[in-house]
Amino acid sequence: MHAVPVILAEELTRCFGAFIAVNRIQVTVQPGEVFGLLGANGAGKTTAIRMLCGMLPPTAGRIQVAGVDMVRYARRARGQIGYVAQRFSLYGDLTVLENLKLQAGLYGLTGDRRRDRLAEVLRLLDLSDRREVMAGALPLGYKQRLGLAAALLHEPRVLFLDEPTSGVDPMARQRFWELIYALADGGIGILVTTHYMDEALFCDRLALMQAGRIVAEGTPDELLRRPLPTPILALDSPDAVAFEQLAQRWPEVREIIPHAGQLRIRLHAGTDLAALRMRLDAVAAEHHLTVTGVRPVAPELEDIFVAVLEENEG
Amino acid sequence: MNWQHVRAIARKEWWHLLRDARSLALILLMPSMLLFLFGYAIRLDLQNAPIAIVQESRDAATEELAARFAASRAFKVVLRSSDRRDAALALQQGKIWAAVIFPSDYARQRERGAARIQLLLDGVDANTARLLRNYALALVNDDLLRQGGQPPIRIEDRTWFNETKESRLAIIPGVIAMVMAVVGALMTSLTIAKEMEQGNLVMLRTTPLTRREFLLGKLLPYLVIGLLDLAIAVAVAMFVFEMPLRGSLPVLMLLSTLFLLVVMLQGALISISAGNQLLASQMALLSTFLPAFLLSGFIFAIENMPTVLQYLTLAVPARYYVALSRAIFLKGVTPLLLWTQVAALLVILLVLLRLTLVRSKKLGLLP
Repeated sequence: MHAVPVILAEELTRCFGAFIAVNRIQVTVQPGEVFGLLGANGAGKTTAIRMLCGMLPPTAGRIQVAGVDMVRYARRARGQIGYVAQRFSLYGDLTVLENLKLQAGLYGLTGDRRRDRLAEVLRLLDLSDRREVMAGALPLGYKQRLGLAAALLHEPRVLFLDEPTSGVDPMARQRFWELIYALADGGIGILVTTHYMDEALFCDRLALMQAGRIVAEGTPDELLRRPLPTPILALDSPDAVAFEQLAQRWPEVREIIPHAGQLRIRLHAGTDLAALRMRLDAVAAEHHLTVTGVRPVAPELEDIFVAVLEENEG
Repeated sequence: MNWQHVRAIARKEWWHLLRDARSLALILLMPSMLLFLFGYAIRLDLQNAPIAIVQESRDAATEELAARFAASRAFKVVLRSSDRRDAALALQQGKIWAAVIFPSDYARQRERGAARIQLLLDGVDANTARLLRNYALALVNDDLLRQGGQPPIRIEDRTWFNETKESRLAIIPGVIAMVMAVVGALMTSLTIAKEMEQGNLVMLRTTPLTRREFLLGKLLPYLVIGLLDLAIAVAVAMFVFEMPLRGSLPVLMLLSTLFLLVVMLQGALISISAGNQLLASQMALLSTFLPAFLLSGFIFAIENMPTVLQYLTLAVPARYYVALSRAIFLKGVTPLLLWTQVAALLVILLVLLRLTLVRSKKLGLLP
């Protein structure tokens, strides 16, 4: 598949004085793809998304949205994007319909198209019954939907979602993601930032940012298949507390995390797993502790990311 | 400039306005309220000033002149006495503003043509004291003339444009200017700061809206409201305060619109610079009310101000508008005669427009 990417950012850089907030990142999002941008606060996610949707001019680099140069033809490029802000940024003292009518005017919809699109987004986001409700009086989940409705009104080629589900209840989050998939199936490219690891797994492709750079990128499967430099052992034992006390001081142990009745023992890179298991058995015999099972754990996305971040810090 | 964008913004601003009924009522009632307040409160002529008459001898000659004081609309005799100490006490207590004292030999000296009366004035309010003195002087002179006295020089005075010398006629155009300045700037000072405060700009920044379209769309509804305010103010002036309109109403409205645009831009500039509604409204109030009140020449003549202040008034838009509206209301002259005032307003308008456009970069919208 070699369609024109809906987002193509090359060598994208933004400096604030001497501080480099975003450092030469590449972002490519294909039509129909859900691209997740992850990272801690201050990693450069927000600056990156603000540049990608044209709110902030880049210090260096190129951005094309749906084939249009975002810097040179900002006005035309903006007609191709929809943006849902983290905070509700529509007008609370206007009704749902009035807010949407404003958007229709700003995106130049007229006549039949305007009428059809208004009806369509109201239906799609289940807002038809609430069209006369003041936007400020909507519950948070509905505010989020209104934000999405406003962003979709002009049938953008790209959708930017900045932490779209923060503060929304799990049911609403589920429905929100179903909708995102439906939109992607319709051919829209979607760039989403999130804190939630389970949500990251919903994305087709992920990029992890740290200190202004993208430090890991790939599909969730690719990332999960990465060999973990710091292996993890899961230890099942009724004497978990005692084991935690004992193993904490071992040189090869990096950290011990009690997790769902087990101990997850994260080890330093290059640890000999066989030797460690023998040592565990020996200690168990010596202190009369019971070991139900020891096995290496398939890392989760969070483990991979923590390892990548630590690697880059070191 | 995409007019569909301007229309979309203007329409949503209109919805905001209609929704906020309390603010709208305030905006529409404010001109009449201020006009009534200032129209009745600021009086530069005397009416029923409380005075005392002291007659140290009661005779026909003193009675006659005293009766003239009592009959005058300017004075109200609240104390009559034969002892000047009573008057001094009343003056100290502030019960009277002046005392007219006829000495005991008034009648005799009058026959000889050398009569004197004493006028004691409360100088705490120097302006009123001066007025009282002039009124008293005029009253005595009139009395003399009526009795066939012949002063060596007579001044034949006629007061053009305001025959009865009512200060009201001079003040009302000034009050209209002040009201329009305050209302115009206050309305617009809130509107842009509100969007900055509520974070709506975050959403607008990703749309194809430009900052010019945004500013124009935001200000248009307030121009409509401002013109409505203006019409109310002019109607109140003409029908309640019986202000004569000798010039052309369309010309008055046209120049008023020019002034309205100036103060609206002033408000918009403040709104963008301040970035929050509270600060913006304070700044708008302070920067329009005080200059329009003190430096527009509507109460205090600019020519009498210290030179530095006179130069300062050049930057006060209300100054030019007061001059123009007074001329149109009272003199009925065409503004061609006053083209310098119109030109000054136009220059201020262009400067404010330029500044507003430059400052509006801060909004982060498309250029």
